[in-house]
Amino acid sequence: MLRYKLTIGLLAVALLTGTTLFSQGGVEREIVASVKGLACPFCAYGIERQLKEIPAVSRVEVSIKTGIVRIFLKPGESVTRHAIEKAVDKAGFTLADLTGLEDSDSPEEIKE
Amino acid sequence: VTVDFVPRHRNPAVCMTASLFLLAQSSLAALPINSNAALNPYEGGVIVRQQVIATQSHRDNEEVSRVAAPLAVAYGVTSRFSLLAVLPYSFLRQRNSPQIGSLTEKKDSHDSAFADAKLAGKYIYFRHDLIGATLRLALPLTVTIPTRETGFSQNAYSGSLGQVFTYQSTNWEFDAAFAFETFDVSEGIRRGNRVTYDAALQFRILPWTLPDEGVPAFLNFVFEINGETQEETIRDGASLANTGGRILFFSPGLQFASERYVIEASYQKPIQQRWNGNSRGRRDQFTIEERYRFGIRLLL
Repeated sequence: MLRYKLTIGLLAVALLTGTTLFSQGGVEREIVASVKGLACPFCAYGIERQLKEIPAVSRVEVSIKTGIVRIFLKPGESVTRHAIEKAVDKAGFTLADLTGLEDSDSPEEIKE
Repeated sequence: VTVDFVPRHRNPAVCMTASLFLLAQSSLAALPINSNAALNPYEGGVIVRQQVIATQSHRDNEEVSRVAAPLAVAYGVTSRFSLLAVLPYSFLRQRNSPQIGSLTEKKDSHDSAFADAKLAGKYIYFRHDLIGATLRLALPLTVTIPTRETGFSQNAYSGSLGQVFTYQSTNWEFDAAFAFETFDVSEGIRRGNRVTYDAALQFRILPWTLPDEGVPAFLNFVFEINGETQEETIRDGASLANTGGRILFFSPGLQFASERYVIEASYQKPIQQRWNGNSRGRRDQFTIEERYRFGIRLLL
């Protein structure tokens, strides 16, 4: 009887956890931006600040060596190329390339 | 027509103070310590820079120690246009040891006051970005508001327009700038036009190789040359003899730059100076022995 209750309990926990993850759209999604003009640490802070102001962005990782900026989106969120391009420009740099955008990241819908 | 007269505000020590604050207006977002650069804070970004500049000078039996503490705040209106305000507080200590016969009289005086404030705008009109590098050209415009504090102020409004060039990469940076400054007439006296020029070269010495990920702090070695040339002061249509001249500094420095703050120090040594006037021989002996600059910049 105890074994039966334990199995039911574990199944319930697994179902609940799974449902929660599914409803949030899973894990963070990563978009990779190649940024031109990024050349000093004191200048790099601005790009993190500007990209984090986009509501869909959860965190940003910058590589000053390669000029690659990894933009992590909150689960289930989307962002447009225009929003990222604008944030990069506000920081004083130029967006060279962007990979990882999906169909849900509608170019017509500007989410900033 | 020349008149052998040294007005209060053309005292070499005051002239040096004016130079200090002119140099203090250098770009806050950039890596040069004493020079300007064609870089701005990000849009909406604020950079606060506090510097301490110590100068010691000797002339005959006079020794002047000056400590200036200019506080500068820069704001990025857009990524291409920034505004800058500089409010310098200065401490002055003057020691004289004049010979009276066989006796030496020693005088020691202290004073402190706000020196002239500066408001500046800088617009980047050309920007060419590459992966890991950028090339920029900017126009800086500066207005000086005199506090008219005796011994600390140039006693006249002035306006300055310049040109700045910057090439910055992850390994090194070169900046070059010049500015033309013209002065208002004050108490019948018009200071001569001034041209300032500077060039700066910086090398990253640490980390020697950049990691693939992240933004490490940089330790940079900085070489700078700063100079200025000024025309003679005019009073009632006549040039004042002991005014105007030129000076050139060589300024090596070290700088630690992280994402949020920069700590820097430089040593400035005049490598050439020549002041106009009938007492040129004496003025040539006026030597700035040492100048030390320490600064911190915070990005908010």
